[in-house]
Amino acid sequence: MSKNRNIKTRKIKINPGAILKSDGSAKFYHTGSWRNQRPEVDFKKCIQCLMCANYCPEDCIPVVNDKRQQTDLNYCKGCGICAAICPVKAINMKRSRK
Amino acid sequence: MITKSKKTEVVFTGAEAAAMAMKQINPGVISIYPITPQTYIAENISKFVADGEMDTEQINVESEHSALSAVAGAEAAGVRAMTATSSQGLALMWEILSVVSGLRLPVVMNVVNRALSAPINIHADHSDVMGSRDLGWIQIFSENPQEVYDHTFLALKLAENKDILLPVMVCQDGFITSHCSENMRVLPDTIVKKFIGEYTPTNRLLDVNNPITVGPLVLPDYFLEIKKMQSEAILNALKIYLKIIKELSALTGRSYDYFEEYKTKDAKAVIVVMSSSAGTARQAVDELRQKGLKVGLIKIRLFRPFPYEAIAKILQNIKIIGVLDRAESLGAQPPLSAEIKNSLYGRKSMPIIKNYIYGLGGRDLTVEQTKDVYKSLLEQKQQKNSIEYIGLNT
Amino acid sequence: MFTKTQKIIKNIEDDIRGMYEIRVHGRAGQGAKTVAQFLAEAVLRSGDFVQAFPSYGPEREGAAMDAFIRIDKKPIQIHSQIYNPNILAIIDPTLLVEKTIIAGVKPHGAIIINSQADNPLLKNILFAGKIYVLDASAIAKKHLKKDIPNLVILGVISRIINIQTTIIEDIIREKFMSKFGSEMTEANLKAFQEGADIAKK
Repeated sequence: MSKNRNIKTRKIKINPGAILKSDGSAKFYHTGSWRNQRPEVDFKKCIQCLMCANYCPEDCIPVVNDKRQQTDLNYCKGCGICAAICPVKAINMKRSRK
Repeated sequence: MITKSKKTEVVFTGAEAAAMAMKQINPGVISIYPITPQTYIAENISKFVADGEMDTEQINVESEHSALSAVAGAEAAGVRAMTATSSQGLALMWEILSVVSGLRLPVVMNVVNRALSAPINIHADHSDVMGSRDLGWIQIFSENPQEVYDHTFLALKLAENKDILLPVMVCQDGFITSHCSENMRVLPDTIVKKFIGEYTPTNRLLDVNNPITVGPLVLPDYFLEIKKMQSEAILNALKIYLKIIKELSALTGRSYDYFEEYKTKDAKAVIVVMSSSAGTARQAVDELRQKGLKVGLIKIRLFRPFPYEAIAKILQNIKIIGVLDRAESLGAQPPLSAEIKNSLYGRKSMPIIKNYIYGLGGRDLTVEQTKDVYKSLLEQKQQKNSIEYIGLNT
Repeated sequence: MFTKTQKIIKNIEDDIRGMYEIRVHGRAGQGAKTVAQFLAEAVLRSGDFVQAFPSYGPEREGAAMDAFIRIDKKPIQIHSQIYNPNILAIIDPTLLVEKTIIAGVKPHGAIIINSQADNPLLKNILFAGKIYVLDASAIAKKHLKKDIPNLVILGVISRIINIQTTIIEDIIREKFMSKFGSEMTEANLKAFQEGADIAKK
């Protein structure tokens, strides 16, 4: 996102139809900055069923060797779906801007 | 009737002509949902595909909205994709029309003009295509099956031009042209292939070595510039159109100017009209000229982008003009009439211009009625923006 | 009631438009559209110009519909319906109930009606020009075993406008052979030829 608010001096190179010549550019956009609640995972309760990883709309719960890791807070928007879907209530959504 | 014969001179309906052109273009994908009076296009295409005469992947969908979506997806993926529709089908596709144009996908769509409901009507009327005139689709109107055929190739060449990259609607009147068999000539496959060339898009979703993202969200800080590019593209089409029609004319021997002027040089009154009724009006001109009345005709072929400059050059020298619209812009000046008046803004003289609405819902326009219009134009005194409805039963 | 066809041709040349304008009335499913299509193809092969189109009300079998055909030596530019045909053909005799069906036919033209000679509705027809009444349904049933009289009527029309019947016979063979087989095609040819023979007299 351009921080140059002076429209007259901003240089723009746009492709017809606003087609972007790259893929996966969403990863440069840290949607985690929108968060106002954060998931806290109690790994002692977690049974590694991976329901949360499947349901996360941002796909920001990394899974390594069939085990879910800490939520990637760069992208987690704090929607709370992981907490809602967890069958053992291992995830708690904490109000927080961080 | 489309037969397997190798003849170049045939008798085709407008629908068969469109289907034949699509067959010779042989696009990668066609997704088409039937709606009267476009149905024979869909049926003929299905038959060609089933008989193995086209390499096209025909995607059957549940609605026109999906049909155009499939076509848009296919074009973005990197193949030629075409479709056809009418009236409510075009209306159902409406949200995708601006998507296709905004994404700058060179889709060619045959639109068989039929009235928009309500009331339900399946006959010829321009309300469907007029309802989508602002969306960034190039719009070309055809008078007869021969023009439908020729225009489909012209449309493809125009759409795919790298300085345009905009979708095109090739229009014909429902039933009057689509179901009317007339003499016409078809081009050999080899000539068509040479004219349209291979489709070489700069960006293809299926090119995994050069990945792209199609259809991003754009916030207010960039949107205006992207739209300006689209506007420049459709205005580029005006110049590029002239180059392309020169090439096509050389192959067919027929002309495709922005508009056709017929006996306007010494005409005291001229009718401006589009599509099939131009032929009826031409007949009226011929018959009235035999009686010594100096009348003329202008048939508009290219409606979007509208050739304001070129037409104003001709119209500014004519004293009395009657503009015939086959659609209303309810609550405002009829579409063609508005463009004609716009073109004359700022010119040295403003002719007397009278607006007529004709043919809504397939109401027939006869040679006699057109002659009456000419006669009333010839005795015309200026009226303020009033609209006359031809053939209205009071 | 069967008269020479030469008079029509002469008057058509005097006509302001100088073209044949044919209107065929039938019910959807009786083959009026086929008459128009075959005529169109025949005119193309004869080297002339043609325009052929149907006009429907409700688009379903049994509903009344018209087929229009224009034939000329020069390209046809009129795109409107035919109000003053020089030839009118009525394929379904029940359509005669509507007295205005013959309105507009040019006085020097011809009307062809598929009907039995004793049909009381024929009294509705008040016309100064030539009227051909023939029981095309009977002829069709004789050859085709079905009441589809359109090709019989086509036979009559082709004689009136002086189109070589062999051209139309070729077209019938081409269109019907693969669709209906040789027996049905021959039957259709006979029906067409009988219509043409009747008009010759």
